[in-house]
Amino acid sequence: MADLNVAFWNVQNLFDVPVAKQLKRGPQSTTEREAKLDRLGGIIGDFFGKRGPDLFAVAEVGSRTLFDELIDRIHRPYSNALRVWEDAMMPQHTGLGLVGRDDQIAGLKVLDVWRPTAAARPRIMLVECQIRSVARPVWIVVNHWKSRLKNSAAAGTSDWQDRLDAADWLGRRLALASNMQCVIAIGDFNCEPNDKPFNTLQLRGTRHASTAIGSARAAATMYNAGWRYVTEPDPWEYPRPPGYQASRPRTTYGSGSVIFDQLLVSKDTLLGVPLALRENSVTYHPDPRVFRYNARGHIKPVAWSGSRNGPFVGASDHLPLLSTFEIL
Amino acid sequence: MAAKTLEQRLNAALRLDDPPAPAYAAMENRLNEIVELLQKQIDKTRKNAQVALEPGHLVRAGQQFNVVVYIPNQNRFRDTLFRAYIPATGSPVTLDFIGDSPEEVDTPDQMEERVINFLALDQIRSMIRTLRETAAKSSAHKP
Repeated sequence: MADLNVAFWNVQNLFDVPVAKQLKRGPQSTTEREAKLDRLGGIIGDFFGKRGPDLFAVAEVGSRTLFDELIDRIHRPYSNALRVWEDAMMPQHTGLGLVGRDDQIAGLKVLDVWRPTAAARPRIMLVECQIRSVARPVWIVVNHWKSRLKNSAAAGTSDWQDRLDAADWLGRRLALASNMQCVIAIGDFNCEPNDKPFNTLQLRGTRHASTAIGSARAAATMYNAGWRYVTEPDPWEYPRPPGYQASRPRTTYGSGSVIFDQLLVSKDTLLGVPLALRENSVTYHPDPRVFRYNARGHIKPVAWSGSRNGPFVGASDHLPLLSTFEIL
Repeated sequence: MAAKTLEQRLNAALRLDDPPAPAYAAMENRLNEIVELLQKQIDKTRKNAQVALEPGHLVRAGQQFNVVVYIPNQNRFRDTLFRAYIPATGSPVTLDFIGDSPEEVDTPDQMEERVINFLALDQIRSMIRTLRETAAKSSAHKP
């Protein structure tokens, strides 16, 4: 049986230098830009025991050129990989990208994109993916929903409403699919598994696989593999000696405790028609270049930082999300 | 004096027949003017494409209005060009062009200025040109 390795990473403000300088975030010099691309490419190539992902989705990349450069830096055979990219209209915004290695993926086709207004950055990209050894195409949904960070309280236009609108659109769009549609929704949702967008009338991110399997609204009711990361990584009552290190992360972003980067799968992606999620494979890539243990032993992403010409540390303020599916 | 009925009290409380605050009406009217003029630009006939001012959510910034373009014969194309939030008092109006960085304006003239500046951006002009061409082609293209 073959496996399909799927990864997502929000790579944190990967802008071209002139835009980054204007925004005061992202690479501030060509040296920094090159160093960041090299760092990201090296880490992505090391995903899945250095095999690299078969499908890799990415957020917070500023342009198609940068997306291509990033993929070209991965030290695996991606030169003939299929690539789809949904651009942002404004230079200060980022797009969504998906790449599929040509030894596993025969076709990628963007079916639909959602943005709240015509000039807003894309929040959701729905892609039809043809896996070489599988007759029926699967849907890959790449997500980067509205952030909680900017302009929410000041304007009162409510970033949470934007995320609810995103969930509403995705739920309605998936409801148009056959109830046997194999769907993998992956990305930075900027909300947690228990937040309202995953519990709307349109879209559900269920806590138990059986709920998604038993649902009549198959594609729009998906099992959310992020639930298991919401709790303490290790039983609390066990003594935590000096040097304690948590067995897994309890955050995917920043220094707090939030699970923003998640994987949701439809019924047929649990039952092996044609993919079966190996849930034990869902991890936030335990690579020392992307995380550190804080003083309490918890795993935190190491954001990219450094002075203009280095040295640079970290990679992104988000952890990369990795998952493996068995192809049946 | 006879006690007022519930209906009379409700009427008195809501006063829905009263006009809205003059500032609110002025903002909404200017938005409607913009929508009408965009309609002329995209499809004078209104047969192939419709530009509409569509009420949305009511949020703290006010009533959301979406400026929406429909091209029914083009796979039921629908897109929101921009959004305006008008509070009950009519000011300030919050304009949302790009999904973040909302901008506040205090008068209809300021709103008009900001909308014109947005529409003049190369990317937006190009998009509206595409919408116009798509609408024209869609007349021969029934779903």
